[in-house]
Amino acid sequence: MKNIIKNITLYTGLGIIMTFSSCEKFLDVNEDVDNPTKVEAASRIAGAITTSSGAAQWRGTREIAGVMQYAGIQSATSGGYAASTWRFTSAYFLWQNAYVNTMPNAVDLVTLGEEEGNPHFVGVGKILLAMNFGLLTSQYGDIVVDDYYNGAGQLNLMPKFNKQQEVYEKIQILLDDAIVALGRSDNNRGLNVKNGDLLYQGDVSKWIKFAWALKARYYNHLSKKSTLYDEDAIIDACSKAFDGDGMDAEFPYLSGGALIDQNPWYSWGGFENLLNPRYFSWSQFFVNMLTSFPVTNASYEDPRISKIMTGAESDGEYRGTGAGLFLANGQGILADGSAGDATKTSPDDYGRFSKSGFYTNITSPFGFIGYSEVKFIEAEARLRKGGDKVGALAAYEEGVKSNMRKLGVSSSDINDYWNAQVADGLSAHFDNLQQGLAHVMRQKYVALCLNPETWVDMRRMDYSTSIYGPSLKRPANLNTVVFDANNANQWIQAMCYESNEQNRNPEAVGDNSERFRLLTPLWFNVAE
Amino acid sequence: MKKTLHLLFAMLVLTSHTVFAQETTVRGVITSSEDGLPIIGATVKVDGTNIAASTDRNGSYEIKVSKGQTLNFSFIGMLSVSRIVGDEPTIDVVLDPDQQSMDEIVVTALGIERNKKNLTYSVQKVSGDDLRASNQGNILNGLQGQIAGAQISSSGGSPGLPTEIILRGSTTLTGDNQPLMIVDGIRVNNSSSNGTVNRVADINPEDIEDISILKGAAAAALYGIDAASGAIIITTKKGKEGVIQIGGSYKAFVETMGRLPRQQGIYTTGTGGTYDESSGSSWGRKFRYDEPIYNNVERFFQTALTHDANLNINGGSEKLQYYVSGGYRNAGSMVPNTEQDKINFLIKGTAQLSSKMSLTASANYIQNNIQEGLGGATAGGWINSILTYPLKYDILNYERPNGEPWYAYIEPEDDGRDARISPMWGVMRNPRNNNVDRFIVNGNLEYKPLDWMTLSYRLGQDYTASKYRTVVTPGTPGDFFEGRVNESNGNSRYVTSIFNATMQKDFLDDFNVALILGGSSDYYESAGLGYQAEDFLVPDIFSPNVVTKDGLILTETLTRRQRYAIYGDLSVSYKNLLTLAVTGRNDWTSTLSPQHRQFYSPSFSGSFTFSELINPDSWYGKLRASYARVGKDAPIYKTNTNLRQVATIGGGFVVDASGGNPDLKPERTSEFEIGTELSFLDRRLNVDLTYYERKSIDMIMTPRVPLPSGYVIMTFNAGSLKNNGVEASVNAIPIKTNDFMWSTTVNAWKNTSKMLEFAGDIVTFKYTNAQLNAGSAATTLDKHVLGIVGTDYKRTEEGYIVVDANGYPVIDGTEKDIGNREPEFNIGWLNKINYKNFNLSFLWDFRFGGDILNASRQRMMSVGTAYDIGQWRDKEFVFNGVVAQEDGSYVKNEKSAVLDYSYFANNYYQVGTNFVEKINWARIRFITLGYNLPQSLASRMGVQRLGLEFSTQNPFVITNYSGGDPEVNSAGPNAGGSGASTMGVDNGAIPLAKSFSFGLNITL
Repeated sequence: MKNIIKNITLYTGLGIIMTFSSCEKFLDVNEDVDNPTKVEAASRIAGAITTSSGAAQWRGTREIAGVMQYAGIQSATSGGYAASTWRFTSAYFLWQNAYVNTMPNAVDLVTLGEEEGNPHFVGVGKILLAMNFGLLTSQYGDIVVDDYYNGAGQLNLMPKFNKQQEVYEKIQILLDDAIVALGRSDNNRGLNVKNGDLLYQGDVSKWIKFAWALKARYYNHLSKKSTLYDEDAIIDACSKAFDGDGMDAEFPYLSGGALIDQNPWYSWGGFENLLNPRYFSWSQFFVNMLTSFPVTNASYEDPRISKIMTGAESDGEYRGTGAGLFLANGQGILADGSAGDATKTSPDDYGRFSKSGFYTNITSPFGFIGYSEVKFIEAEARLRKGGDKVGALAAYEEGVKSNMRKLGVSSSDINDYWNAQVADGLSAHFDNLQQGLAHVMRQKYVALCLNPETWVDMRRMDYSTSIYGPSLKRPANLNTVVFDANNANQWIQAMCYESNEQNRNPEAVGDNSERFRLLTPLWFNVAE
Repeated sequence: MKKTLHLLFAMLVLTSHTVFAQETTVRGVITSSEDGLPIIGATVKVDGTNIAASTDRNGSYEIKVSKGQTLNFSFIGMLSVSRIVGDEPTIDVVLDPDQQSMDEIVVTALGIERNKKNLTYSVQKVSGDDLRASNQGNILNGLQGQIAGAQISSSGGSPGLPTEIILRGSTTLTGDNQPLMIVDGIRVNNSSSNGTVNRVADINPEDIEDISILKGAAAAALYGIDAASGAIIITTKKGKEGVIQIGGSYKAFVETMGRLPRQQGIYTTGTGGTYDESSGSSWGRKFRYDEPIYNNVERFFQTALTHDANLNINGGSEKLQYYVSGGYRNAGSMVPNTEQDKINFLIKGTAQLSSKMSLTASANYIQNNIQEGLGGATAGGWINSILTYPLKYDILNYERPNGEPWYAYIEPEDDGRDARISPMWGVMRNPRNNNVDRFIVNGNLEYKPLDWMTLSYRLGQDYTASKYRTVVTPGTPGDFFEGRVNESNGNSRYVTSIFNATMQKDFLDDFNVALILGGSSDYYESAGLGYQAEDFLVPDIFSPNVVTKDGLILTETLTRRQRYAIYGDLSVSYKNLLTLAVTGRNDWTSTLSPQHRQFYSPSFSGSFTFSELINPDSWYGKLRASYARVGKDAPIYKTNTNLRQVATIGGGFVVDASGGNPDLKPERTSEFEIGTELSFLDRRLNVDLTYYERKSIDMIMTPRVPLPSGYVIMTFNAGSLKNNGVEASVNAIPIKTNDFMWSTTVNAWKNTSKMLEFAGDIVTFKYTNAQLNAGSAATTLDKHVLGIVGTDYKRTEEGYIVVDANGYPVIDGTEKDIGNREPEFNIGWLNKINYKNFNLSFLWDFRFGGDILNASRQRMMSVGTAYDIGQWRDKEFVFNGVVAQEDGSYVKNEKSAVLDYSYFANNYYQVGTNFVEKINWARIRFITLGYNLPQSLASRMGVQRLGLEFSTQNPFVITNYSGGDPEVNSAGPNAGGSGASTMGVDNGAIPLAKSFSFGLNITL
């Protein structure tokens, strides 16, 4: 009897073991056959560029457009109300859009490019990564760089934050690496073999110029750091960056495709609802920038205004609402600091923000960085270096004119405008750093329309009215829970980290209260 | 005893060869000692042979037998009797009912039948009759209150809403907490994909013989990596040898709405107290006397009729027994334009192929077509839109006579895209349909080479073809104004293949050894193809054929899982005194990383029947203890991270926000259980007590992770939690006379859970489908697993609410644990009373404690339709709290504050604790009164049995809940593929209906 049991056990066991040794392959069914886990770098580049624009930079601008006072709102129920009145909480959503939706694509480009032996993809990945780190650090300060996703499937549940100074250093290293990688001749597959290079269609030299432009921008962020600010490095970087029209790094939106292929300021970014869009009109402050000269605040209508905005339906005038105010409050403060026309409370008294011109039409490109910005950075560096007024003026002139050319302003209008500026005392203004900067920053404000870089400039300039003119005011309906209603010099300095990070990684995030985060200047903006 | 039988058996086998010639025919009548009536279909079997007969409708039998052979007389629920055939030609037998519930045979893991007496762990059994007395279409609803330790909550009272069952608390946060569902030995589909009905609801309750609930890890240990949530073992009816029995039943139900949330009927539309026609909020001025006010919630629901008809035929010879049944159910619903149409067909047969081999095969076809009413936040949530629809509009006014939408409010420039429309439009015009065709086939070949050994092989497949389709009719305000149709078609199959060798033998007189060795394969596959088509070019054709290419999205999916296992189960019993059992199972699963895909689950258990030592005849007492470690594998495809195609310019692929993990290993749950079974007064009082402690470690979670990880959600092994609890089941028969019997069962249980460990710095895990502004269903470290997190008022150390200088309470914005959704204590109380031909059964269900997150009320609060707003708006109120003084001390608040719009919007509405309610309820689940016509009358009508039944389901609930019915579960089981996420969350729950039914039962 025992033998029978033994035999049965033995044979059953043997049978089972034999069955199972052949079963191993049936267990290998845990890969989704319908969706890839890995594709070549050439199939990833478009996604990395698209998300840098439509996810990261868009969400880093959507609210900031109100802070930068480009856009005005209709009422307290408008989508842009909270941002325009500096009500920011940890629900601000750049963090996830950059860290999750965008940057892993750039990291993967680097990893895949290295694996495949295609250094040009490595270069592109590092440029996009550097640009996104730059966007993040300019709004949040300390951010995660070293412990960031590396594409190897590691899981770091308590990523540490790098100090902002380190972040700027690492951005420069990424860009240096990118320039080296893009310069290599042993690249096998071109950037655009799958039509994915939406910026430059495979033109590596333009990517290299893009990298130099970003280097100049992030060096220039350190203008308050006496020991770190290096005018010569900036001027050198500018000289290697964009050197002409038609090579700006900008995302090309389309018409006729899916909704998401359209410019967000035109449609999906809160502008589909015509009755109460996120932002209703352009702000009076922006109208002022386009209708008066820097320093003197003398009236002069910038020929770009008709390219950017449309006039009011009622009388054709360019008009905007006041910062943090509504249509019902009438026109905002005018360029000379005087009150606007409070009777203009009808929607027809204002040109619309969305669908109105160069920046908010269906196919309007979304600019990362362009030739004009490079020239303005160069002008600022030469001004700060001193003793190079001619160089500074030349760079400034090219910055202004190139932007006008880009917007399709006729050469006679450009010349008229320039001559008027000269007549307004431009050359003398450039003898003086502050007045020179007023020119550079106001022209930059116009040329970098709706680019979050403008917020960096405004903070670096301490929101100075000597730079931006007397019409720059803190918003009405100010968020007085955080901001002191009686301290006109208290301006918004940074964003709160996203609650998603605060809840999951609390120790590393630290104090994320609105009072602390919104009021405390970031490291780059502390003079030392 | 066994030994004698064996001897006898041996003798009979010997003698049967030699004394074949002395064959005679024996006749007789078998009656029941209970009522003296003949027993129909009782079995008479010649011991040791396959010769058998059964009694006819007069209880008579006739069988050819040889003198000296033994006849066994048996019938379900009766004690079997044996008689040795002598010279007499007639043997009449009276069978006694089997009162000894301890001799119950229960079906345990892998379909192994065991005597409850020797069980070493807790198993609760629910008979098919008790299940049917509840008159619930979904068998899980029918189990409510009948199982100690089972938390069963339905998602609401509309067709197609799923029901969730959790045994002994949830063991995982993001995995599946639903127990394994086994029907006749094979695993069946109980998914509730797309938020629709849990698929075990397809099974016809009429076909169920009984259900065993394997609550603990030890009971389910033979399911290894699939056992951590317990198992529900359903056994269907099978054919019985004897004359053909034909039974039929018809039931009609009338359903009306149950308990509804209340609304205010004082203020009309507007914002901030001023009337505004364009506003959808009800924060305007007071209604004028001449303005109509519609009670839309009541107007919306209707009274509906359900028909349920069943027919079954059963019978067979000694060589072949069969059971055939058919059912049809057409269920209306109190929610307009929703219904269910279900057909069940089951055929099951057992063939005795030889004296040693038998084959059982069954095929079950189900067609279940449901037009659904969607509840809950994720599932469409139009109940919320009813609760928030301004009372100045008549909800029943939604279309024009020509069928076009009637907009309640539309701006002059608007074509209807941003218009307001009655939610009835969506209900009537934009339904969701779920069509299922399902085949469950199951075959079991059993071979008994030796009298102590059985080899069996089972192969079964549960195949479900399902279609979900939702339509948005053009003209519907919102994103799909030009219309949309969404359809997903899926074919899923579960293939189970099991080989078992069972050996059972007595040794040394007093020892009984049972050994089971086996192996199994379990394969799951689901293939889906779906499309989404937007913007119809022809507005009255809802098809992808009439949209442009840009409006069409196609999706294909294929998920697969393969598991193999080998296992063994050894149990040794000494007399009836002591049983020790050891099981072991090794699993291989495809869903884990190759280096971790093996998993071993052991269990050790024992029972000690101490009454055997003292006086086994007058009472019964057993102690049992067990320890088991079982597990869970990962959800499918979580070892990889997939890329997502970019639909925009340039195309290509981008990363997904959900990250996989190539290092996933099994999640482990270990459980210690101790219990006792006691029986007194001739088994008229039975008590079963159990205490358990279970701990899950290496939990496979998909929490939200720090975003620099590159992901929002990632799957990994982290965290542990524990559950412990007590279960008591007391069954008594207080009164028993010839005519009258009252049997009562109380099931009581309590489960307490605690989250022990999370990964990293994570302290809170929120469930995807239950996130609101002020509160979310979530699990917090060191707190109960089914928690709620949210904001509260600022409080002093003593717990007083801090009130500001203006008299308003101060909000503490930090999110913390503010509730526990698990009831503190549950009691189910089932009563059965038989009096002559009447029988009455009813089930009380009590719940004590446990919180509900009342998101429906929060929503009504935000738009101003909540009842409390009518009661309190613009009144002055002195908040019960304290005011901080300059010196840091507090004084009682005396200042009154106005409860205006700003207070409700900026204060009350922002505080999570205002929407957490601790709930008690006492409810009757069902009352069923049956009457069987006296047999004399029945036979005069030409039938064997004719029964009438009146029943009511959910007739009333007594509760302190401010909303509708407090049984809420907004997104159903495994909402969003994750755990017990929304039990106790009322986010637009459709309240349970109450219904009344009349039924007719006929046996021919």
